[in-house]
Amino acid sequence: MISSKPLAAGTGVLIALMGALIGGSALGGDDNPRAHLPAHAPKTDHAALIQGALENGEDVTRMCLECHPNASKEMMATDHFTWGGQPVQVPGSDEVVHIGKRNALNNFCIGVQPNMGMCVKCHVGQGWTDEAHWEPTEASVDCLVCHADTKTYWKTIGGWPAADVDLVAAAKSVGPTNRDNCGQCHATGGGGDGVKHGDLDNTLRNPNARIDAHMGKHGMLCTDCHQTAHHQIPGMNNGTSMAQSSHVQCEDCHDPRPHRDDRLNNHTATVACETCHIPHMAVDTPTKMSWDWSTAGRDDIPEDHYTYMKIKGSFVYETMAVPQYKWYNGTNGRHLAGDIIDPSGGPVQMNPLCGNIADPQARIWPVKVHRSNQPYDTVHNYLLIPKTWGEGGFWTEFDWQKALTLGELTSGLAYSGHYDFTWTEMDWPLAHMVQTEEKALQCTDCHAEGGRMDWEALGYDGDPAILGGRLQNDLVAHPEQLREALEGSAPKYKTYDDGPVPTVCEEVTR
Amino acid sequence: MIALLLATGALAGMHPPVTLLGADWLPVVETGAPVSTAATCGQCHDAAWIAGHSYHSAMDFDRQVEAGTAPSGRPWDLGTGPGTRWSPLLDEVVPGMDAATLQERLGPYLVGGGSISPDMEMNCFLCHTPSPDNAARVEDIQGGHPEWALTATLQGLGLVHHTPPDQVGVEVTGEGEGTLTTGIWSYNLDRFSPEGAVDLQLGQPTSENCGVCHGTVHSGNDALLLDFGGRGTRSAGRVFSPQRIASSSLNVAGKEALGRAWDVHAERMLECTDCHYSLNHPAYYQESDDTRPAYLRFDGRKLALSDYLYRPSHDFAKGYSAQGHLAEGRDGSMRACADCHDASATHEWLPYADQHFAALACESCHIPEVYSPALSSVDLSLVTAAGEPVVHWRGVEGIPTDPASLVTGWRPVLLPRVDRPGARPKLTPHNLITSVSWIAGEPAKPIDSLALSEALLQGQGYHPDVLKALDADGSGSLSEGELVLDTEAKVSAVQARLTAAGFVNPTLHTEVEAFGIHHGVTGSGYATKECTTCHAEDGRTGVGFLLAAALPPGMTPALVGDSNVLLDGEVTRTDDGAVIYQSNLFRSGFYLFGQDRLSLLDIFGLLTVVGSVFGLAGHGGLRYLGALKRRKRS
Repeated sequence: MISSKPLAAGTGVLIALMGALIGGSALGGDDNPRAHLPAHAPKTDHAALIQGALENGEDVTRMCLECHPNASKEMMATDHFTWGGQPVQVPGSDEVVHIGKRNALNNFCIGVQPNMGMCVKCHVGQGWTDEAHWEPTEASVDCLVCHADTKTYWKTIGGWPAADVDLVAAAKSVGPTNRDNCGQCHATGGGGDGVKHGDLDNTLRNPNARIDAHMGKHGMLCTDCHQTAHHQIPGMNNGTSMAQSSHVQCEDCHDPRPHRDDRLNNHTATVACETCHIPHMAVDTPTKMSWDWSTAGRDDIPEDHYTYMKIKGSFVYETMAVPQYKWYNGTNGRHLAGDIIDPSGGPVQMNPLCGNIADPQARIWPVKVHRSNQPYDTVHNYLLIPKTWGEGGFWTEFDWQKALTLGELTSGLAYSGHYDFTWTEMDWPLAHMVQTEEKALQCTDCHAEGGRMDWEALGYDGDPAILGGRLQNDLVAHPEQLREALEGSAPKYKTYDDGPVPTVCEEVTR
Repeated sequence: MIALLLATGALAGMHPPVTLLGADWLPVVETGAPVSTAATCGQCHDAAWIAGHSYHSAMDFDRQVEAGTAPSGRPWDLGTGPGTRWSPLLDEVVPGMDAATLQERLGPYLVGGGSISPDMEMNCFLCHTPSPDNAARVEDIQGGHPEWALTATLQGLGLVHHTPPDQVGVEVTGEGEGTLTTGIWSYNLDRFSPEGAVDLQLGQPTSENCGVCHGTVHSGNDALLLDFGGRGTRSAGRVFSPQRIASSSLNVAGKEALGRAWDVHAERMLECTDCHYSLNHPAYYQESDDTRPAYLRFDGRKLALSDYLYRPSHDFAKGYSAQGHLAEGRDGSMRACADCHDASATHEWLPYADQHFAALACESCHIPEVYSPALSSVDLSLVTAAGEPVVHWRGVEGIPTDPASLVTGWRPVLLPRVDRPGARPKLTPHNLITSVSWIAGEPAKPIDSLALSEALLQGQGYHPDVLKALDADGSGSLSEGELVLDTEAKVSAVQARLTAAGFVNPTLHTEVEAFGIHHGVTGSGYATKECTTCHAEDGRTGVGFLLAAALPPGMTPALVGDSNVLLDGEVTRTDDGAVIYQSNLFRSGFYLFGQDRLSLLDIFGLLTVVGSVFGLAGHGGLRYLGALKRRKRS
């Protein structure tokens, strides 16, 4: 007679082994992007925790700090608060500078310094109206803008809560940051919905799969990719930053060779995922492709949101726009305030992407190239920062001389009294509005006659599908370096853990 | 590198400017004469040799046989080509018609240079220039100006224009250069160099060039329009396009879920000539395993590029045709799927992969559906009021050319196909097109739709005798539902009408032709992977395939004799008169788990189960009895 206990134990072991095998095979494979998603903390209902009256935004922050004592300290160390950026050494300059929103020139409203009160409506602090003279305290951090229900909270001049906001209701609504919180600023950069970024607009606050696969199909949040620790939010804004300090990459979650077809996988060392998976920008909402300040202030041009506004000038908007394609190694150059320009030398490159066909770290990226015609000093030959908002600003006086003279006071850029307009360009690599394989680019989109790639401009002799790619050709010249890039597939940008690193973008000149 | 460029077609645009010559070898810009490709192209290429050997030129017209001995088995066929083998898809071309009529009726498909079109030189421009004007070419062929067809083709490049009628035939005196007689086409002299040369943008034929005659070819992101003028699209729903069906402007049912391209090979940038290559192309041609010495994997002895360019073979690699024996000497010369793809490397998931590969053509799973309408029947027993055959389509609700019609798509029928005598049949997707036609005369021949129209139509409508027999609602015209000979009385009435019109002994004939489906291939994502798609009672081969919505009483279509497929199933009629083909693959040597049933195997299985039960019971019983005995002893 056989004892039933060992039999039962043996059967249990067998079942367990089979289960492990089945489970193991089900979870097998390297590409399991969901495994990289953070667990979402349950929302804590703050309704019962908020007691008493709250007179102003700083009162709210002080109450938050009672339970989250480190939050302001952490927040004040971030680029989101300082608008200052990580320290970098700009190519062509000996100085190490902090470049951020507070001092970078851009292609839209040009510069924030003379217009601080208006611009800080999108700052995570409150009370910042003078660019140079602000001594924030821990209470200056605005917790609500990132954590309150956006239906209960909105900001106004100086970054203060609007007068009609019920601060108690807003404070009671707080929770983890969601798409609305991020979207209220990042979807409307440049002065309106979808204006600045070709791949960020208000449709992403509640998207469907047609707009973005991650957020629309899988319901992901911004913070699922921009995974935040101690209020440090990784992500690289080429518009204001240079340091390759905190790139978020597809490869953070996805296998570097994720396709069933090896021919597609062989692209990944040279072509960014975004190139094929973001076939168009501005899927629904038009994005501003060009802004001509020189026509601003005229009464003889009919006003229309998408073509002309008296306070801003003439625009060109596009929807479902095909990106331009450029090499990008994760770093970019930066035109600094006061840099000398050559008005006859073509558009001023405000933040040119670094990398070229010979750079194994560079891949071909989809880019929104925004063009702007903005004022410069014809004597000093540098770009000027006008005061647009507020007393004496262009938006009220429509007087460039006055706007530029007032701009001099805060920007520190001497104004000779003579101005003209010159074209500038900014590069905005696209990373959102990702499409699944069913809508990604096909071979013929790039490799057929009339395809969207300008191979010669990218440095190829012609279509690499016919003539061979850079890795095939250059393996002869730089075998180890390029083989490493090919095998690693994706350039590995540095993260916060690597510390602040000066950028390298040797070919960029000022 | 040049070989690489040749292979990829990148040589397009490298061709030097050409001086267009007339048949007198003088520049046409000086004489105003029609262009001659024998002279123009013959300056560098062996144009006579190219035209002389190509089946595109001759269309097997030079391989005629005695009536009654053609492979089709039809008594009226005289060969295997479009001019000698009758097809209901091109019913107006009846074997044995005079050369002028043949040239007029087959004009759109004639490339020139062969015995079938003695008045036309081979039209190199149709296949080698980027935008040939085919409509102008056909107009000249059918309009009695075949000598100008070549020149007309160049209108697509903007090199010629129609001469105003009042200036045709005028003699123009040049500046000391002699006289020029204007023809129906004039040359746009500003496009020519002072020496008379012009850049024709000549290059390897693109898929669009092939599509001019063979079906819908589309590239780019503009709206895809189905071209039913192309025989491939009409007969098999052929669409060669990289565009995703979901992105198509066509009204395809459920297209949002169809993220696949119309054809994966077009999506991967293959051109028609990558598979249907020139048979002496040094970059493509590889001697077949059948004739190459067993010890030799690759034979490096190829034509020199210069020799190839002088005499490029214009016989193109082809597979095996399911209908007829056109250019059968080149059968199987095309690279097959397995010549490029290693299925074993990508089908690890497939159980019994070898058995599947042996029994199924790759297309069976990789063309699970066709999303373009195709013909299901051509009824030449009657004609429409417009004088056209009564046709029915599958895969569409409504008229296929109407953009508002809903394209539902259709599932091809899997038929056993035997490419070579003795070879094991493979299941391959096909369309079956049923036709009904009148045969009359001595010797008997099909009555084409033009002749039928003359007999059955009168004025703007039908002949009174026809109306009397068919106009059930008395409307004075025939609706779609009335255009069918579904009773003996109707058959007799039309038969009498034809006899009265002079046709001798008109009798009805019905047949079915199989059209292989080899385009519209999809990749693994949309290919058939679910076992029960086939291995089930109602699997692909278990359900019937519509042959015709209605046929005259008592008629059962038979497969045309020159097909390489087997129709071993049954043809049945439903209660509403539709004619259905029901496969019976077992007869063709296939045994399909989940669908076929062998009673012997069932009995064997039952015996196995019963035997096992009895065996176990007996063994257990004996052991029990043994135990009882042992207990008694102890």
